[in-house]
Amino acid sequence: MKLNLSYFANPAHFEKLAKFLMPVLVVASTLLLAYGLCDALLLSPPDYQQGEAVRIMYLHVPSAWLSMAIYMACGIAAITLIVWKHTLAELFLRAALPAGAAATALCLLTGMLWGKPMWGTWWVWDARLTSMLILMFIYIGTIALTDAFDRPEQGGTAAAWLTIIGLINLPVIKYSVTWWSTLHQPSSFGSNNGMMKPAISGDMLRPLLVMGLGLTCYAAIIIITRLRAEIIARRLAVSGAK
Amino acid sequence: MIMDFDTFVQMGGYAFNVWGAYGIGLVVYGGILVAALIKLDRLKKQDAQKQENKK
Repeated sequence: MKLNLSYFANPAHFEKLAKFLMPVLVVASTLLLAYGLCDALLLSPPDYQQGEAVRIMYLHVPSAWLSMAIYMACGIAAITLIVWKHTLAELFLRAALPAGAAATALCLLTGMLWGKPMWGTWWVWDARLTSMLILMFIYIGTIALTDAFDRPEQGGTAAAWLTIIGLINLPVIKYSVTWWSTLHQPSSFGSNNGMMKPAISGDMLRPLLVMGLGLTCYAAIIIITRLRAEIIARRLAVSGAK
Repeated sequence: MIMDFDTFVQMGGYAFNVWGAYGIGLVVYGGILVAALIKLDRLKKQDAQKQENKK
């Protein structure tokens, strides 16, 4: 069966899909986050060097994954908006950008709380931290642009262009710990042996992946809820203008 | 292996950092969902009001 993505670009069809997906996502995120938090805070072992402080990783790392994954999704929506002029792509940008900004802010804040006892400082201007801060500024800039014009479509287009330009920052964040000598540790997930043999033990990898999946479902709930609100807001604005 | 209650609360001396991180997480992720639900509810009511006025 051929999957027709343009079918879901229709707001009415999207509303049907959202009503089907929401209960699934609520159950999945509740179960995954409940187990993930128990595993992260109670069951997983302390690190041999960092002790109990390593438990911040189970929130910090999934937030970093989310901040980049949401930005990538926004990048795809931005290209869809510029090329095919889909209104739903513009509304997705408006819905997802604040969720991505929240994940980025949380990544930076939890990183500071983790960095202070491990590095002896809240902040260093190394490549990983600086590129994440730049991502935060890009998020703030695009959110500001969406509401900077009288006509919302103009704001959406301007934000889409800035989002596309900002995509350059994603590989910089990902490879910053490889390209430059940084205080930030290398990726916990990758290793010299590649993705199939992660650098961390299975007892730590399990809560990391469960929290990552749980927060992804949770972020999807936020974005779908915000998108439904944006669809109604646009419908009200259009009917008010007539 | 489950840790004992004191270690859980004190987090090996890193209680401020660990509980601070999870507390901020609760506020940020919880806050953005609550704000989204409030906005959706408000707009649904406005939309319903508009449909009612049309009739």
